[in-house]
Amino acid sequence: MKKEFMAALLLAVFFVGFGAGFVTRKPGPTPTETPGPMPPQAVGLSGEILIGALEDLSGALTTYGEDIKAAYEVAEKDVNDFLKKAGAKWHIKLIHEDTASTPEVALEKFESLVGKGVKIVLGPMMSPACASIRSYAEAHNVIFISPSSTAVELSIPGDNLFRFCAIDDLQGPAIASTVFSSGITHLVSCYLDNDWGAGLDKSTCDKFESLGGTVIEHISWSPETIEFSPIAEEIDAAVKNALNSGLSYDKIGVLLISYRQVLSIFEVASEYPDLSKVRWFGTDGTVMIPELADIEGHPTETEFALKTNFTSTMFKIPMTRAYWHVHDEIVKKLGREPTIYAYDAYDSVWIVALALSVVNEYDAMKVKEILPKIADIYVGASGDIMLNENGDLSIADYSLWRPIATADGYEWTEVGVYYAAEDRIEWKQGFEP
Amino acid sequence: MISFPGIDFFMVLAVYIIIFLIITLSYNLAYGYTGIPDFGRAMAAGAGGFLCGYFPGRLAARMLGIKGDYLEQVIVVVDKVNLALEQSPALSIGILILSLIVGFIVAGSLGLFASLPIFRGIRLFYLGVTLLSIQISFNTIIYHWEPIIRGEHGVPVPDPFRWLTRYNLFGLSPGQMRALGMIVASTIVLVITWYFCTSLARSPAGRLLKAVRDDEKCIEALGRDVKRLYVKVMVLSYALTGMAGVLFAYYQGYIIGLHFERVTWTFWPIAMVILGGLASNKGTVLGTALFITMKRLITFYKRDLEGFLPFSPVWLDGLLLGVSLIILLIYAPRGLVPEKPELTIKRSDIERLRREVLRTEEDLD
Repeated sequence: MKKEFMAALLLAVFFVGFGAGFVTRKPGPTPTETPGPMPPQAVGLSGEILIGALEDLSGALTTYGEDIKAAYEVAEKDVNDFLKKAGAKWHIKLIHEDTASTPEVALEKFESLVGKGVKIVLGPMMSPACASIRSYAEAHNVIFISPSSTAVELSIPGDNLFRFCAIDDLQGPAIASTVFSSGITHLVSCYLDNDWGAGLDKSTCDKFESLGGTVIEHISWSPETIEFSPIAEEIDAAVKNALNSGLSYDKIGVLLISYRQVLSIFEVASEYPDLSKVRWFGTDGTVMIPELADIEGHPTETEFALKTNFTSTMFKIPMTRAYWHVHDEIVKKLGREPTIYAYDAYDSVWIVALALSVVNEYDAMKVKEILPKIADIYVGASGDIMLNENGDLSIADYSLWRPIATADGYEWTEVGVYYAAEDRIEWKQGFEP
Repeated sequence: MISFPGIDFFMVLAVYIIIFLIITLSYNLAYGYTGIPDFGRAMAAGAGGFLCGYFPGRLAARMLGIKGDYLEQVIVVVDKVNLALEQSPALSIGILILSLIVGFIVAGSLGLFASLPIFRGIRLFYLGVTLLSIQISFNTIIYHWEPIIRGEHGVPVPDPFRWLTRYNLFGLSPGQMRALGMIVASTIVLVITWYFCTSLARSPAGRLLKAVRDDEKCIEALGRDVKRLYVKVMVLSYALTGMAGVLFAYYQGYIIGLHFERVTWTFWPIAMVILGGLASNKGTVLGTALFITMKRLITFYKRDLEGFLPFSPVWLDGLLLGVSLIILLIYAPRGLVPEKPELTIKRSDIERLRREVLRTEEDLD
């Protein structure tokens, strides 16, 4: 009986709460009514403006999550100091939530933030999580800005998602131009078969062919692959076919779209003499991997990278004062170098705050309208942020990096820059093809 | 100042409680009543959920005469389907009901497939672990086999509640109207599940299940085919859970290969059933409602404790939920509503019969 009473009490609390929520709710928009003339209302931001922040603080993307959280915190402090100096009656307050690197937890935390009255959310980080919350965000007129979602699939005009990082189809042209300007006319494209790898393979090869190049073969492997001998054999066969058709070594290139699998692939590829004689190219997944510039610890991989002039692309961020400010603050907080997404995460807080101050109202739909314009005139820690009709970064320059033997040893060195606006490569002196 | 949850909070809470009640009630049937430990329950919900990414969009596109490769242009196609669904409540409701029926059948079939090791005489604990392995394989296949739901790219799911956003009942916003539709549809499925589970529990079949759970050999000795019974329970339980997966997919509006992971869809439901009390439908309702409400309220209010904590409140929900569950189970180790003997007739009738017997005995004396 006591248990039943408890159950009844809990249910009563639930329904009383539901009723109280219903009575105290804010009236929603009435889509079927035609808006008539409204009396003038006093608007203006005041007090604490809640902004959600969804970060992967546990799970597979924890390192990135920590960086992004630190960047948000630095930005929150900077914005609030600025607002205080400007005499604003409002300040921002970020509510951090861990999405555990899963789309379901991301949705759950997003719903909780919306339930708290949050209308602007920074994050989530993963593309699948962005896809999961998209429908709920649109139904509730909430905008969200991802610092690191790069899937081309989510480039949808007019939706509530903004992305300030370079999405996958921006890097493809940079890689293709790098390969083509190196004198390569025939390319073997090898990629990790996931969202990122497949997208990058397509955008690179499309651009390479539009430049007049020929893609000889696409070779892929699943994310679970740990043995890469068959992959190296396939690459060797493709290169041999090209050589047999009369092409010379300097016209054939191999593109490797991978993460750290590059180490295993280089190890097995070094056993095939032809593969050491053609040029190899990488992406942001292979750039700065220390083992590729470590002749003592990893001689096979480093020698192979040196022989093949292994050149990888990385989103170029201009080293402005804002960049160094964010860099130094995060190093102070975390004791290590931040990853690249921290800089656009920092900028997203500023752009939201600036948009809010222009709109002077906590209305996500009004912020959505003005945000691309604010981003357009803003130059921050990640440089210029120009958004396209999908709310994604429309243009991004890329640095070209290569492991080089220098007087101080072996190190990754910037050998050129891809300027997206002019679609051209500028090689640094001494590194021209 | 402490803020109070608004209507959005309670609507989302209601949706989750109802969807998870369908799962926990059906899980209680398998584990609580029959004693089948199932660590692969996520695949039953996944069967329904992934089906929603595969089937209704293609069907609606074909019905509306939308041509072209479905997966290639899925976002545009589903947008067109949604526009049609917005104008047609009958089509929307039809697609929802059809999806629930197909989800029921597909998940039930998966339950049949997953329970096949029972016929090989596998012990129940090993079956539980085998089901976990099958679930991992199932999710891996969905994640990598792009023709189903494009793996990690995922697909949008048509919205059978979109038509509700054209109306404005009780001053609810379009998003709230959609949530209201979701609550009503889920409640209907929940009522069917509840009726089925409670009727079965009170019937001779329910008592047979408990008897099998308590002493399998004894029931076999009495001539019952216990293996066949296990399979029947698995099929029914999976089929009911599949409908919950369908509802979740429609609620979320987008399905990807990473969904229906085992923490949320296997381990949390097990915790809810244990919290409520095994083989107790009332307990399962209480355990599920309490668990989800607690989880949501902790997430909602944790920020208000920021000033009192020596660490970031980001971590508070996991910690508090764990501590609360431990305390609850210390004080109620058999769950909030422990299992009781199922009464075949009403207690008042039993009392009446007892009085009559006593009276007869007195008369005889």
